[in-house]
This record gives sequence, structure tokens and C-alpha cells, in this order.
Amino acid sequence: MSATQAVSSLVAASTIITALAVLGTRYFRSQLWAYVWQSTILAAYTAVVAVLSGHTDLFWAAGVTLFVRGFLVPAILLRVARALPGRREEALIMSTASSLLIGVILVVLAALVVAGLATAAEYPALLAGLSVTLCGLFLTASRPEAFPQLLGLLQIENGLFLVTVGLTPGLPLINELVVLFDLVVLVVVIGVLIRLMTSRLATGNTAVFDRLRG
Amino acid sequence: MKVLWQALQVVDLLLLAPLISGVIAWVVARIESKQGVSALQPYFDLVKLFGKERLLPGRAGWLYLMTPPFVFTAMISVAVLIPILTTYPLPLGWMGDMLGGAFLLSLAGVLVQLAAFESGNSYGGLGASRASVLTVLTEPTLILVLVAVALEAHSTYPYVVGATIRSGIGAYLEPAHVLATVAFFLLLLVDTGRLPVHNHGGHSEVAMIDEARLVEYAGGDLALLTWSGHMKQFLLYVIFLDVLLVPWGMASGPGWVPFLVAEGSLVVKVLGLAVIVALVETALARLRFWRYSEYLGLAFLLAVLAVVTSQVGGGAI
Repeated sequence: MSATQAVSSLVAASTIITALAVLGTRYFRSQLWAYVWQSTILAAYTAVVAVLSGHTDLFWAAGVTLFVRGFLVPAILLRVARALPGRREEALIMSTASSLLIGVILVVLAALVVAGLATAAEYPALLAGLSVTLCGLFLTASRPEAFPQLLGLLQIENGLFLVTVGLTPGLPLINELVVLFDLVVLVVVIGVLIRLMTSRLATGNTAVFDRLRG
Repeated sequence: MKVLWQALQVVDLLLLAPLISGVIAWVVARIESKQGVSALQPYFDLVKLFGKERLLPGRAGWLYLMTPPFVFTAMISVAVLIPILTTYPLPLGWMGDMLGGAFLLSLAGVLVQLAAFESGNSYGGLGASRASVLTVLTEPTLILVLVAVALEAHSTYPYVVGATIRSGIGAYLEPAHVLATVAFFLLLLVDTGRLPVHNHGGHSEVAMIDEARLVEYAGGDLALLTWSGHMKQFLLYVIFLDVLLVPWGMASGPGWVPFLVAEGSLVVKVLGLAVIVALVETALARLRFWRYSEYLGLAFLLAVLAVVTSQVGGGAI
């Protein structure tokens, strides 16, 4: 097993753990910390790929990733979480244990799909990327509160970035620069929406909008 | 020579085990800006307890009386089975595999729970029923973690598992192994009586689990059970370190020099983990009783995932 493959294996396992940790907790702060760890692992992975593949511009991508995904976005999210009305944990439709179980099934599904698609060298990055994306999608779909829904979107973003770094090491700088603005604007806009919602409706739960349906 | 080393593993267990609890308590106190009692306090406590009178509840039966020596013996037997000092098996090392060690630890736990029920004290029963719930939640994870590493090594003997992991960086960083290690660490905090499940050293009735089970014991009996508690912690640390996390530093050949190196690395590794656990403990709050299943559910599913990833994809990972 080559060094690249060993590192991507480790990254695959640890990013999947963080993705499941977000699904497995109902505390906003813990979810945010799991996202910070996921982003930090992603940045470290990008830097390691830069060393191993010789694409020096990946160092910039790693730095930008660490700053934006590991610091700037979580800082904005922390402000949003502080403004949430006096509660540290979210309302749930489905218990965290059940969501974890579905998360694990999604990871297994990703493993089965990727096993037929990727070569042994690409396998870990593609598996981790797809798993994180699916877990993020499931988080967005299954939680009634706005905050974890936003985190789910950001995780999908992380998963896609992981795939681009792992599969096409030359691309991520452009990719990251384009996505960067997108990401920050997304977080700021949704953050403002959540704060508006909490100040007008005194809840971060999007279930209140259901009665607006015709 | 090998017999001597095996005896020394047990001596290490007996002598070092209380130190870990002392060091954790000391580090936690220092982080909380307190003076902190000496790290040797658990030894003083044991000496004090051995000097005290033995008192028994009126309805104590044979089960209650035999539990302390039996639990103590079970812990010593586990120390014979697992690699504490050497990478090669010692004479009695083939008596039982990792599952055998896990069974001995569970047996000790079950005995303490039964004895707590037998004591007739209401807090004893309360602690025992809580501990049973925790056992139901932790045992499957423990077994699955062992299964995951056993599938990796094609053997359930801890010596073979350690050798497989030492064989290359690929085996060490394999997702199955990483996931199993993380799952075992989550479990380790629960099984050694740490946060986020146990409030160590707290004696309020609503939160007591381990202390409540021993509430009727006194004198030498309590000393044996407390010592066994320290030893269980030491054994789980050693299994975590020497089989999963850092299976390096143990003696691979005969002679006194490798032995001393192994002793030194054992102390460094175990105390290092103790400091990490102390840091983790100061950062966490205790979970509510009905939230235990969420924390332990995560550990369980990581263990399931460890087993699955080692099988899916033709082991391509």
C-alpha cells in the first residue's frame, strides 16, 4: 500500500466519523465542532496531497480551506447558534440513534457503489466524499431545524471538495476559489434568515412554515 | 525466564493500576486550578481500607462474601492473557483470547451487580440496575470491536492482532482499524467510570453508578473491589494501547535490557493516556441517563462500520 493510499484511508475513516458525529448529536455546539474537525482534516489532507503529488498550488487550496471552512464559516455559524432562542439542543422528528443507523446504511451503500466505480487508489477518497455528501443530504432532509439543515449543505460541499482533491489534484484551487464566495455568501444569507426567523418567530424550527402550505 | 516475566506482568498490574486513577485525579485538579491531592492517594486509600474493620450487612450470603476475592482474581487472570510487556506470548498467554479476557471482565461486573442486589441496600440495587443497562449498551460494542480487529488479523489472539498492526503503515491506517480504535476509546471512557456517563468521585445519589454498587462493602472487601476497579481501568488501557493504538515499545526478545525498555514505555504510554483522559474529562459534561444510548449508539455503529468496511469492497481499502 502506497503512502498516498494509507493517508487517504485514514482521512476516509476520520471524515466519515465526523459526518456520523454530526448525525449522532442533537447539540448545536457539538455539531459545529464536528464540522470544524471535518474541515480541518480536509485541509490537512489537501496539504498532504500537495506534498505527495507535487502540485504546489494545492498548498494555497489547503490554506484557503482551513481559513474559510475551518475558521470563517464556523465563526459566523457560532454567532448564529448564539442567537438561537435560549436552547442548546434541537427538536427532532427522528431520534439521533435512528438517524445514525440510517447514516451507517448510507456509508455502506456508498461503499458498495464506489467499489464498482473506483480503482484501489481512488477508493478511499471517493468513498469518504460520497459518504459525507450522502450524510449531509440526509441531515438536511431529516432535521426540522434550520441550523442543522445549513450544516448539512456545508457537509455536502465538503464531500464534493474531498472528491476533487482525491481524484483530480490539479483542479482544487480554482474549484475552491469559486466555491469560496458561494460558500461565504450562502452561510451569511442563511445565517441572516435564521436570525430573522428566531427574532420574529422565536424558533429555529422550519416546521412552523408547514401551515403556510396551500 | 518467561514465567518470571509473566509474574512481572501481574506485579505491574497490581502496582501501577492505582497510580493511573491518582494521576487522572491530580491532572483534573490542576486544570481546575486546585492544589489537588497527591497522585499516590489511591495507594493510601487502599492501605487505610485494608486496616479497617470488616462489616457485613445482615443478609449477606455466600455470593456477597465471595465476590471481592473472585473479582480480584478475575482481573489478575486477564493480565496473564494480554500483551503487557512482550510482543511474543508468555507460557499461559494461549489460555484464552481477547474474547476470553472480555468474558472475564464481564463476569467480574456481573458478580458485583449480583452482590449489590444481595446486600439489600436500596442504593446498591439502584446502582446495579443502572450498571446492567450500561452493560447491555457497552458489551455488544466491545465484542464487535474485537471482531473487527480479529477479522483484520484472522485471529482473536491479542499477540497476533498486535503483530498484524505492526506489519505496516497500511494495516495501521486502515479504516476498519481506525474506526475500531475510535469506538474502543468511546467505550473506554464508559467502562473505566469517566465522563460523559459516570461522574467520577461524585457521591450524589442521583448520579452514582459504580460507587452505589459497592455501598455496603467495608474494610478489606472494599479495598479489594476498589483495587479491582483500578486494575480494570489499567487492563482496558493496556488493551487499547498495546493492541489498537500504539502496539510498539514492547520487548520482542529475551534479556533485561528489552525488559526495562518495555517497562519504561508501558509507564509512559499508560500515563500519557491517563493525561489525555483527564483532558477529555474536564471538557465534557455528564449526559442525562436517557441520553447514554445516543453516546453508546455512536460507539456501537462505529464498531459495526469497522466490521463492514473490512468486508465490503473486497478489502480494497
